[in-house]
Amino acid sequence: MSGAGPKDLVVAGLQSVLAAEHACVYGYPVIGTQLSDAGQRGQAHADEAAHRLARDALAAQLNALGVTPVAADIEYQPPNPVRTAATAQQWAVQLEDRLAAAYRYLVLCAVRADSAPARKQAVDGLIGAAAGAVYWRRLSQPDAPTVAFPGTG
Amino acid sequence: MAEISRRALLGRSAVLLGLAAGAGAGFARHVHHRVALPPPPPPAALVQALAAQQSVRAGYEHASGLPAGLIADAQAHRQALRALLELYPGWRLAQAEPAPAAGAPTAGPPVPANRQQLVSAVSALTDQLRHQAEAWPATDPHAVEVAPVLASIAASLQTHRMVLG
Repeated sequence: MSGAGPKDLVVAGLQSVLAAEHACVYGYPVIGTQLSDAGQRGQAHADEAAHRLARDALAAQLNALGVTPVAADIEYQPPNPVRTAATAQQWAVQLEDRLAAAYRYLVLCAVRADSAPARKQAVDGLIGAAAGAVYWRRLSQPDAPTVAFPGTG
Repeated sequence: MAEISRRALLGRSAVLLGLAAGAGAGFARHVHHRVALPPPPPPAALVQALAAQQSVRAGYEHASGLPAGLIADAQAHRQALRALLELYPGWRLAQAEPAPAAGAPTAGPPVPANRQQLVSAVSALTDQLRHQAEAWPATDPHAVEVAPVLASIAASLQTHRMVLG
């Protein structure tokens, strides 16, 4: 990343976040199919819709910067085969954790680029992703529903 | 009057010229006094954040029925904030100085006495760290270390607020 200009740094961070959003958009419909609880299914649907909006907004932001947004992968691998509610919840936690990591990377890129708007977007996104993980983490590991440093795991 | 030989006169003139040149050079040269200036104090925002965080942590330890993970997170937050402060020589110097007298007032906010106060304290610290993560000067030599850590702690505290209800 040495020699990259401020715009390049911000673009790299945004592309990282977009890649993580692609994974969320792919993952939540699969997660929803394994959840028998109506409330959890509803949350999965809501999360999918929110991530779809975020993905589209990021793609538009990158287009406005004159950059081709990174494309989605053909498929995404969960940590374990998603065959039960528990494995579905674990995948949701992983998706949100990876999104938090991408936003934390954007924080770093924004500091290096000295871009206040990008930094605000990154901090907001990191906090949002951490909050998004709590619902699923409370289901999959109720004794430890939080982590000390979202985005670093 | 004693007669001065030409050689003696030239010699004395040479000596006088040398003295004058030396004195001139001495006046013209800047004398650099090496004075050991103390390092600047650590960023006040970080010191205040650590004090507020210690108050929240004490509130967690007094509260009942909290998930154990919250206290573990708070201990990790404290260590992380202290590690950030260690980046600044002014903090290290302050820590090396003798401790204040016993009974000296502490700088942090009061320890939350009940659940409602605890939620308020966590919310206030979340907002404080969020703001610092967004506004930490990019010109600070440690900005790339400080801002991401403050953002992560703010995110963690946001989840604490959700768990606390």
